[in-house]
Amino acid sequence: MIRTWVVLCFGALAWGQTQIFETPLSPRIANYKIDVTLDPEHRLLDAAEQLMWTNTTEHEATELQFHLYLNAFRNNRSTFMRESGGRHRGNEISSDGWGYTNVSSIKARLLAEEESGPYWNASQWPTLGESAWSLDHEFIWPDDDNQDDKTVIRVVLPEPVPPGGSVLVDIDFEACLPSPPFARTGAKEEYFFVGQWFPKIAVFTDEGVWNCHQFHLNSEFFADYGTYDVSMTVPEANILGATGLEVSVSETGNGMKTHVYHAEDVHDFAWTTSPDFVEFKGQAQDVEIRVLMQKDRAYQGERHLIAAQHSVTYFQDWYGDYPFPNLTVIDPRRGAAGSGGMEYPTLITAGSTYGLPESLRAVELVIIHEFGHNFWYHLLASNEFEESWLDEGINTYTEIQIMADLYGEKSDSIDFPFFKIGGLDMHRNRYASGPDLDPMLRDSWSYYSGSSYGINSYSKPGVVLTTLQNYLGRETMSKVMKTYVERHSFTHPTTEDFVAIANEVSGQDLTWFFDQAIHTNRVLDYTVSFIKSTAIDEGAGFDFDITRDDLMAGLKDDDEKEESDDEDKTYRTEVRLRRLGEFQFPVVLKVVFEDGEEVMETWDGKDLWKKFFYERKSKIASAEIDPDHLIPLDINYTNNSKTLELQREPMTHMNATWLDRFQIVLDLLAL
Amino acid sequence: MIINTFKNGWSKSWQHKSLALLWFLMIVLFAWLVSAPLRAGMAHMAGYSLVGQQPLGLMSFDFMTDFLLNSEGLLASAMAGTMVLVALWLFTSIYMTGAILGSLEGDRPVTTTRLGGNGGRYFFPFILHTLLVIVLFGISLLVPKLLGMLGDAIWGEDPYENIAFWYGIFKISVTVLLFWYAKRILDYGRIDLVLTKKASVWRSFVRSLRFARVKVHLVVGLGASFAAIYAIAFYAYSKFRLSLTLEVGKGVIIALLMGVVFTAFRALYRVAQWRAELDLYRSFLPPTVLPEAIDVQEDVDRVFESTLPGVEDFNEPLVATEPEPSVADEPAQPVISDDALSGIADAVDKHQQQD
Repeated sequence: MIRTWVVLCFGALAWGQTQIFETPLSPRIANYKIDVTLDPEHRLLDAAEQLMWTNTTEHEATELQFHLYLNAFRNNRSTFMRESGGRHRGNEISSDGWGYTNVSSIKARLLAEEESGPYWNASQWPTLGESAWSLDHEFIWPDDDNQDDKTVIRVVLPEPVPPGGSVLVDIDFEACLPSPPFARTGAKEEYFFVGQWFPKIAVFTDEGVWNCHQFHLNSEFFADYGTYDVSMTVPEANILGATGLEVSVSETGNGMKTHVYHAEDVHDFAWTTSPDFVEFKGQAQDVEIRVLMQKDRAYQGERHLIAAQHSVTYFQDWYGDYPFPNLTVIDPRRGAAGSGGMEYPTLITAGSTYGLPESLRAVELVIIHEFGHNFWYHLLASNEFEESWLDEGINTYTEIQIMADLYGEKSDSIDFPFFKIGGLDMHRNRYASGPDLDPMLRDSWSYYSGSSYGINSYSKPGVVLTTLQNYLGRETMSKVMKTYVERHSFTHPTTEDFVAIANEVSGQDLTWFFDQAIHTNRVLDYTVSFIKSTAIDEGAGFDFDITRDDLMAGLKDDDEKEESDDEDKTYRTEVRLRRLGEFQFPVVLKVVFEDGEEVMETWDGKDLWKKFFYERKSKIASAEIDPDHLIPLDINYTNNSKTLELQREPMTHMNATWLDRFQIVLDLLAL
Repeated sequence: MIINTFKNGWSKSWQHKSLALLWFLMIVLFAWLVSAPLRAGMAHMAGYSLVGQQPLGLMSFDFMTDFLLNSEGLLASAMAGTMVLVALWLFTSIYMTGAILGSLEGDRPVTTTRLGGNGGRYFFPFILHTLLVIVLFGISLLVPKLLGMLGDAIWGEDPYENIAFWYGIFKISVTVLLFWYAKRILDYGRIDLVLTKKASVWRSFVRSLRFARVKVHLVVGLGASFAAIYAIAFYAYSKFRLSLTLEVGKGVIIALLMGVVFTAFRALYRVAQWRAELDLYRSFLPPTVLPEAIDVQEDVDRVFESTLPGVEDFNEPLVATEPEPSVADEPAQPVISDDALSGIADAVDKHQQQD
């Protein structure tokens, strides 16, 4: 069906009728038409933006609020720069590479009901007309009152936008891109990656207030869906990639070309251009894939394409339909890593270097992760400012599952012969390095540190959801994820929505689990604290009818018993478990006796400790909690088991290994 | 010549296997000491846990995570001790080098007294010489910077990544080679000190530099032969260790034995390389300056003073190869420069007079 519609769509595009979907997939609240011209020499964007915004709430909107994200890079006094110190993901803002957005004019008018559409593209929109208001804007600081921060503006309307009403807004602006690219956007020589570049209206919530946060170091974005018609004028030698589908390309006659793109049911628009791109094309199920590689890494084009094909196939098979006809994958230029590893609707950026070995699966991991965001960010547009785990965390979980299925659980991230690491292990390691600094859920800029934001937005949710999957079973978890996608696509789902779906699909009240995992910083750590087997001397002590003669005989018997074989003995075995963390979770205990007998037990894990007793002809050999390692949320696997005897062979091997490695190092160090 | 020297090095190493054994024992001892805190920490944490039940080839990432996160205090406190032990090892290795080279030089039976005497005799000269060679190591580190500037001049500061990558490989390779070459100079300087009975550290250093420059093909050829053998052995050993995917219990003994064999190989290898380098170096020294021909310690310095200052180059072997037929009583051509020849002749005269 989708494939057929894509064909129709391209056919329609050829006729200049820009329509992708038969019916709107989303509430098209924020619709944009932007004409932008790139001045490559000065990395400037000269743009005219037209916005048609509809108030879908039951409240009047007396003002509009917009994000001016590029102003985060205006100087070192912005909130972003104060929080980051000029560094983001290992990249540093250049002292002569600042960026900005300057709004030069804002005009608007309310639309009459018959003018409000729906429209498939901006060419059908009404004009602003002479009667439009000329509006002033002012900067506001809703999060931290930093008056040097210029990333949010408010525009007061002479008349409010009534519920159900629409407003048409014209904004002229100039934007300067940071160089080299920093925090996802910018320019480097001939390469431009243009993200967070236009004045973008915030989300007017059902409560009748604007949700418009400043641009922070540890936060991403939140926006409403709509259509985008964007014409980008760039040097004619350049290749261009953007969100949506290309409608037309025309020469302007001054060495420039205008590329027109159209996108529907998306909530952001990014584009890139460079003369050095090498294009690769492929198909995955019903999705056209276009990879734009840097010339010097073109030999990795196939690798990128295959990773993108895997991404599309796995996500559609496992989580739901990706309704868009295409996906564009961008390989950022050398020296422009700041624009790598980022997601936009139908367009993602990867990240690689020349010579990256196949065993280091950074390309695959990044592409699978960033494409995943086309579900957990794009289709399900949760508020990344306030609930970052819903996009980054769920995405980390799906990335872990797909990478493990593709490349093997223990070697899917790094797979050298002498060194292997799996994605789940990597995230568990990261989580265990700081498990109790914050709860998962909080405003993304208010975590204890950047590291804690990373742990609680990426790694911990990945580990939490993997633990939940092991608890519910893969099939049930798969249904949870599919239902979440089906039910909440093209909406702004919240944590409560996800929990409700999990409860409904699993048929269980999982509130006890989510409350601990999401809303607290509780740590899960169970241990086998004690094991012991003691021979039971059945003849010891006095019987009730003891006589002097019996006493003498009994003592004699005891002497004889000491000489009897061990085989005749019965052992009383005690196993003690402890809950060292506050996180309560049911656990399985496996007890193994020396004769090979295995006993499985379960414990609800609620009390601080639990004892198990056995009487057997054999001593205990070992006891182990979670023997199959199904609870990666447990921050210490090593204390999960205890053996009666010292593990000589493993310890000998471990010692020998370290001895061997130290010998080699010392030999090399010898002067 | 390289092949003969190489073979001779190995055969002499086998003859002096007690020296290799000594090195083997010292390295095992130090590795055992340095790794003690780590091993103790692991034993404490995992000795009674099932976490060690894993294939032999790889360490468990889960366990390493648990260990590192739960042993921060132990690792921090062990670090200082480890650094002291490593420093002690560096000095010990210098002492041992003197002991072994001194014993190899004379091909005499190895005795405790002789080993101890040689170790003590060369300890401080070797330390001084090492400090001189450290300057060379430092220069090696400057080379990538200089090459980087050269690269910038050729391709600019924004070259295509494939150029930067391969040029980076080239820079690393050059640096490693220079390090390796400096290590050879370190060896030959020490050999010179031993052969001249530590006549002068500075002169030995200068002579080793000259030797490594003039006889670069032999120095590199012999060193590369040994490096190749080491690389092959290391690769084979690593492959073997990685192939031990047996569960614990079935392969621990094999792994242990192979570890011992590889360490023993490295000890023999070290002795063989020193012996081969010693033979190579000795074969190019004038016989008159060899201590065996003099036997009077105080003459050595004087002989070198009078001969080697004029010796600009090591050109042809004077000992290990047959001299070219020449006009009677005329020195072989082109052995060394005229100045050097006259210096050597003077030294020989003086030496004969003293005899």
